[in-house]
Amino acid sequence: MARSQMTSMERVMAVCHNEKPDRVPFILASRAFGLKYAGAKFVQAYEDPDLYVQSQLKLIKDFRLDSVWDIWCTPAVDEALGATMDTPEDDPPWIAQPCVHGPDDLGKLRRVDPWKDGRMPYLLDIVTRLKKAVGDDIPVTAWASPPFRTACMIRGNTELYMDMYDDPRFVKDLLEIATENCTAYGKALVEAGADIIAISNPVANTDCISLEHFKEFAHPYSKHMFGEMKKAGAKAINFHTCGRWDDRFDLCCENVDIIHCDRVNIGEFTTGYGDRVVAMGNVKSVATMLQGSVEQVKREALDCLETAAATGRYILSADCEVPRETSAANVRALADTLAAFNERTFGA
Amino acid sequence: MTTEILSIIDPVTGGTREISGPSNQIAALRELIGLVERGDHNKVPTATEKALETGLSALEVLMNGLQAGLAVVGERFKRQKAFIPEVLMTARAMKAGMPVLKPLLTATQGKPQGVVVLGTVKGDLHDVGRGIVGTMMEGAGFQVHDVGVNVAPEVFIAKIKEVNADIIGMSALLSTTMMMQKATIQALRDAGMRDTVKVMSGGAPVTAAFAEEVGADGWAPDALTAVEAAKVLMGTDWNGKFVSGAALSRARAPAAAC
Repeated sequence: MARSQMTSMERVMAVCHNEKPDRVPFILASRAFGLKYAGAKFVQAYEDPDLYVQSQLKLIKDFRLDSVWDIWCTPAVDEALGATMDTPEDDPPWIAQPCVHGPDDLGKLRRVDPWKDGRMPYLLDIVTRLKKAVGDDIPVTAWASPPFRTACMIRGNTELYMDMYDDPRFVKDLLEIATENCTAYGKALVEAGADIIAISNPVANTDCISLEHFKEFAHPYSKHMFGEMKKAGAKAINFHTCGRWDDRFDLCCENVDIIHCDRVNIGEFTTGYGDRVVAMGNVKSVATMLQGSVEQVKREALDCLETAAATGRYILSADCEVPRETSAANVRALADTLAAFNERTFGA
Repeated sequence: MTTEILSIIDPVTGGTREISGPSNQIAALRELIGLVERGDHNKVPTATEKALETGLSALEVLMNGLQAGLAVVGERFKRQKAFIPEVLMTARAMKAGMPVLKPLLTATQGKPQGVVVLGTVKGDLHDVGRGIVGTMMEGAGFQVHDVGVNVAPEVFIAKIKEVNADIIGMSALLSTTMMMQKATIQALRDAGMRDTVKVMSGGAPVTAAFAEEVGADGWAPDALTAVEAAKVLMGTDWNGKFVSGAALSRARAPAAAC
């Protein structure tokens, strides 16, 4: 029987371990919204670690979220490998210039040290500060790039996509290097205090590459990396399936605990994969959270809860990161809808 | 010489069309379509020359060979049987034949379906999705001027003036930067150019409702639909009403925003 008052950690781990939670957990990828909500610009997250940590703690307090997040999707490994990262004043960072222009550049890539190189030590410090702030009761989620994504970023998407036909050996050599470095950073995140490792790979979905290419160039390297992070002590792997992944969800579930769903019918997903993974999602981030009314948010959240929560393997969330300009009223509507549902369903 | 019939996908209409001709011409076109379809860019220039040697005009080789090959993969892409790498490979192969044909196309034959300025709005550095749109538009006969990423309104305007563009296509892949589409449209109004250029809006977070609300003329959720929408906007019977692309969700750019 579920305890009446689980901690956030117990609640999230309960759904991961297919045990009954005291209520449906609530997790949002919230780096940008959190900064705006705290009155800060995005770039300040890279200048003042305490400011970022405080922005996450404020979200936990105000919206009863069940996890804090690091600065999601900062391509720190790619930057440390030599790619140029741009950090706009109030937008997420991007790889502006790749660094691998062909097979001859492979020799220039070195094994990076997560504790010393580039922006990685700063990000690890944020994870440590988050963990210190929330203790054992709330999980810290930290983001790591999967190898295929890093390979795309340091080579260039277009070039890597064509390399898969022109020079598959080169792509695999590059992926080996990416895997080694992405895994090292993922393990460092765990060592720094991350409980959940979040992964996203929007360049390997059904909108972009074939299932055959996914099986050959993306999946084996990701699966290996996830396994290594679990061995290093990660309590859960949360895979954000940005875009469509219909034909490859079976593979995505390997070594993964939570699928942060984008464009799926959440009820069908929990029915199809609930025995293997927890479904997290999928109120529409832009159409509903950013552009919709409070009523729309409530309606869509309730629809998700009523179709997916009964399995016990569900976390309420948006289908992607909550956009920076989302109104606090819409986030509150999400939290309130969940609270009312939990009250009716669990008495919690 | 016997006459043969070849069924191709018309690169302009997207429909199936039969062409007939001497067997050597049909064989040359069939080979060219196959090479483009397989992305074999190294063999395309020679095959293009061979096709011309059979007596086919440069326009016939372009439309019924190179562009028809790209259209085959475009159709597959629409049905999720081909993906971005395959489109990129095919586009490269198609373009490999153009240096052979360009000097032979007359000014009239070379006239594009329309002149398009494509770019990702200011503050946004995504380029793959926009690149695919440009490739598919070129394949369908548009002249495309890609001004890249992080494009300020004044840069769009300068390019539109320079090339006398019919269409501006704006991409935004972030929910934060999509508002720059509105700012760019306002800049076109301020420059007195809003009525002389058609505005297309796209990008992963951009919905048809958003595009219409900010004052665009057309929106498409994917590269193939973008081509179709551009054709509607260029049509003489376009009535000025907002053109919303079909609900075909392919070719959304790999955002890497999440």
